[in-house]
Amino acid sequence: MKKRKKSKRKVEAAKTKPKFYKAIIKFCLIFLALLVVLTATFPFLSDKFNPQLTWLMVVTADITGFFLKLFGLTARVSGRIVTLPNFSVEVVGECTGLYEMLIFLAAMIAYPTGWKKKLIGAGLAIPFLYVINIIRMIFISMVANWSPRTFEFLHLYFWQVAMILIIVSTWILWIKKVVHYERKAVVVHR
Amino acid sequence: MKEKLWLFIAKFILISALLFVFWHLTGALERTGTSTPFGEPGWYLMFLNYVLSLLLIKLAGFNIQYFPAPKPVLLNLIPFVSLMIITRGIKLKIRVSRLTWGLLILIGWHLVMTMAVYLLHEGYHVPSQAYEKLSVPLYLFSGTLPFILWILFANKQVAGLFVRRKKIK
Repeated sequence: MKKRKKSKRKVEAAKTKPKFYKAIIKFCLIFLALLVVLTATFPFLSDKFNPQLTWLMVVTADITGFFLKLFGLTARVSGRIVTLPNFSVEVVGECTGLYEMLIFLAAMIAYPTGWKKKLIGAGLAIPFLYVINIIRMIFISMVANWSPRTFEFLHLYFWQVAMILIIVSTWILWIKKVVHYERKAVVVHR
Repeated sequence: MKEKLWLFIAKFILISALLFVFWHLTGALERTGTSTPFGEPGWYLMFLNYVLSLLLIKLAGFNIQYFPAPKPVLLNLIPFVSLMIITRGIKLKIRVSRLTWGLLILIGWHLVMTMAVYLLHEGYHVPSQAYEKLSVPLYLFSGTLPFILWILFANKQVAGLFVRRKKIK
């Protein structure tokens, strides 16, 4: 019996292996193509939607300033600039979380699943990524206010790792909770 | 991915933090220490400069002293190494070989990027505004490269995310 089970497992594994290899290669190729298209068109789109992008930067600065005040810091916000006692920061395109959203959307579109799940994912992930980005902004501003010299280091280093961490974890979370979600049947024993 | 997501994230943060400390304390991008002037290139920048000077000065006859490196691009080594270390279920030998291949690809990318930045600035004298626009896609791609390499190199471990295995009774 055990041998039969083992051989069945081997057959199943041999069947799924080319399937997932193909799926992974296909995902990577589509993801890369989307990334190239999205990032290549981004500069033109950011020019075209400049007022909207500026509005997003101002809102990000306002929200960051609000939370910094909530945490007891004397923060002043003027347009895109957040001023703290020892440090001031200008909110630019990178600070809005837009790049993380673009990469996440590319990874989500490239993933082999239905459009309904992709739309649900986009609807949930975009606000989530924005909130995570605000947390990142608050953290960097607080540390930079405490030690202004660390800003460049933190901004440069933290951004790369935070970007990968945020994208990978949100993408896995979406697959596990939305794509692989199955309704559990409730069996009532009478 | 049999692991719980929160544990995966916690391990990723911890390993990345440790690698950060190592990267910074060894002065990879900028030399650290009280006697060294601020902004002096570290060992990794010197290494890139050495390889590029070998390739461009000796082979192609360029006359360059120092290549300005795009620092944000050079930091994608850390997330890649972290992801490869924390992913469960890869045999040590395979892990080391894939880690090496991945690092070689990323270092190759860094060399290409450093050369591209030099050519854009000094070779073609691209205006700073146009350079800013060009740099965004390149930086984004650099940031995403560790993620793509991880999916390719740890394909068996991430396979569960792509194909749901049926339970065999």
